[in-house]
Amino acid sequence: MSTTVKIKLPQPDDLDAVFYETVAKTGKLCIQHCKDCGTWTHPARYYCPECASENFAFEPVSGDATAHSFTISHFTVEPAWKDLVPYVTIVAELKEGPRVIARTKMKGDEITIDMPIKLDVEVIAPEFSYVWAGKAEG
Amino acid sequence: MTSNSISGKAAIVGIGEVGYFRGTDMSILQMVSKASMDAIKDSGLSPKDIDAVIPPPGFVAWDEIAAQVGIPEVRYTACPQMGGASPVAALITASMAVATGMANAVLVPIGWNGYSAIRPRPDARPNKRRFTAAFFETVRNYYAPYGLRSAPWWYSLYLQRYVKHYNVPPEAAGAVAIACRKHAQLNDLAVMRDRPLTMDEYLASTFISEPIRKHDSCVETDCAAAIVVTSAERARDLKHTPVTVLGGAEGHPNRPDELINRKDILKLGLDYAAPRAFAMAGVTPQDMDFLQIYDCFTYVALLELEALGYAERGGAADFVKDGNIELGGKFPMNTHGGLMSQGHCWGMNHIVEATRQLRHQAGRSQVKDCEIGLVTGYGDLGDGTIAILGRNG
Ligand SMILES: [Zn+2]
Repeated sequence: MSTTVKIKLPQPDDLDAVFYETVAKTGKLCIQHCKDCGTWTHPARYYCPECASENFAFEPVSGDATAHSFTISHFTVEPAWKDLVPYVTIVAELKEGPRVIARTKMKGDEITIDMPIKLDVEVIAPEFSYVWAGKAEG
Repeated sequence: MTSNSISGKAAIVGIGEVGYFRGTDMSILQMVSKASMDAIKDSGLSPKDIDAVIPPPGFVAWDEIAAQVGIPEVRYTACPQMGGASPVAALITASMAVATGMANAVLVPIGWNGYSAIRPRPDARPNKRRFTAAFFETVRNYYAPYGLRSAPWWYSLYLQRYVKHYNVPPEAAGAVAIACRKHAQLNDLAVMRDRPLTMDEYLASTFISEPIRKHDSCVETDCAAAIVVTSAERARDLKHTPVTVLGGAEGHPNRPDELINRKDILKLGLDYAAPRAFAMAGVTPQDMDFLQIYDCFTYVALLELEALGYAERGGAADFVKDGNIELGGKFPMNTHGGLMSQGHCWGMNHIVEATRQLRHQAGRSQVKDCEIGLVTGYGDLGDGTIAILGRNG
């Protein structure tokens, strides 16, 4: 199955741009991490939602996650996605707390709610990378 | 009821409804102007009596509406920005304005080309009118690149957890679609009139993005509707039986600007708002004679019914079965056909229908002797609004 999709790249600004630039630079899923209370936040915010600190860095996460929810898209009006239906999208809950959206090569019937998964990134451009979810090993 | 509440202080006195079209030659501004003028005339007031306008969160602005219908002096404007939760939020804001004396009579219109924007006629004038929202940035940066382009794809992200975790059967969502479709058969304006729907047809309907099927989705329409709100005191001398605002509230998930990082992704704004609205009105969910529920998608309506207290989380299936939400049942829902089968007017059609019901002017859809009912709104990424309305107050 081809997974390549010719999408219109987003033009993120503010901290969303910093997030994607950090991921592209490091090749790793990096999430905003509060230097004062340790809370991980996604999407990134100027102030920590837990302690209101503005001291943070984007740091790599483990990639260990669970499938909090998912959807199987059987229909699309977007030419770029037409060849890929049905495509599966997962709401992945990182061990560190935040949730991210992830593509997956798994089929819909292979996924159960809250099952363990492993996340990785595919760098597309400085302004966008895909998160991919696969089966957690062992 | 607390002394500073708006309960009993404001009333809906005028309604206007242009219609629900799958393609029309009317522009958005034209439809909104007509709905506005119809609502003003219905109230028995003149444009000169209107002194406040609450515009929709897009497409048309308060000043052009005022200019089009000839409102000479505007004393108050505001603009709730929460998509389909906006009309009920606007009703609440209008009620506050008249309760505090900031305004005497408030016009609240909404309208759009929900059909023609997607399928313009080849000879149509280009449409420049747009709707925008802050959460579009979230969509552009995080959802759209994943092939999740608009509402059915975004909402399916959380609705699938609802369905899988609580084993919500598709027949529960089907019951909502079928109730709306049945009621549309009684409504001359409904787009889905003369197109009945069976459970077998519902279940055979193809998926857009699981769990959302085609028949779980509302109908795209070109339409406009409007209401006029004034003080309960002033309302007594006007043309129609006043429909009084007994309670109202808005609520928003934390965080409001994105869908998936909420502690509980199934907790809607309405979960926060509903208890406050019932407390303000001094009534309970069991007191309602009808429910006009914002039904962009059937599964969202199920979650709203649970947020309102009609069932535990995941338990709406029992509430919606056996005709309980149909006319003749205990809690008739969307007696006009709803967004599902009348048309998508951002829920302003729900407020218009609630007003008709409480005036006892709902024709074949009349809930006999109804005295009190509720209207909900749901918008953007889960904003929730609710108004509890009563006949005479
Ligand atoms: Zn912190």
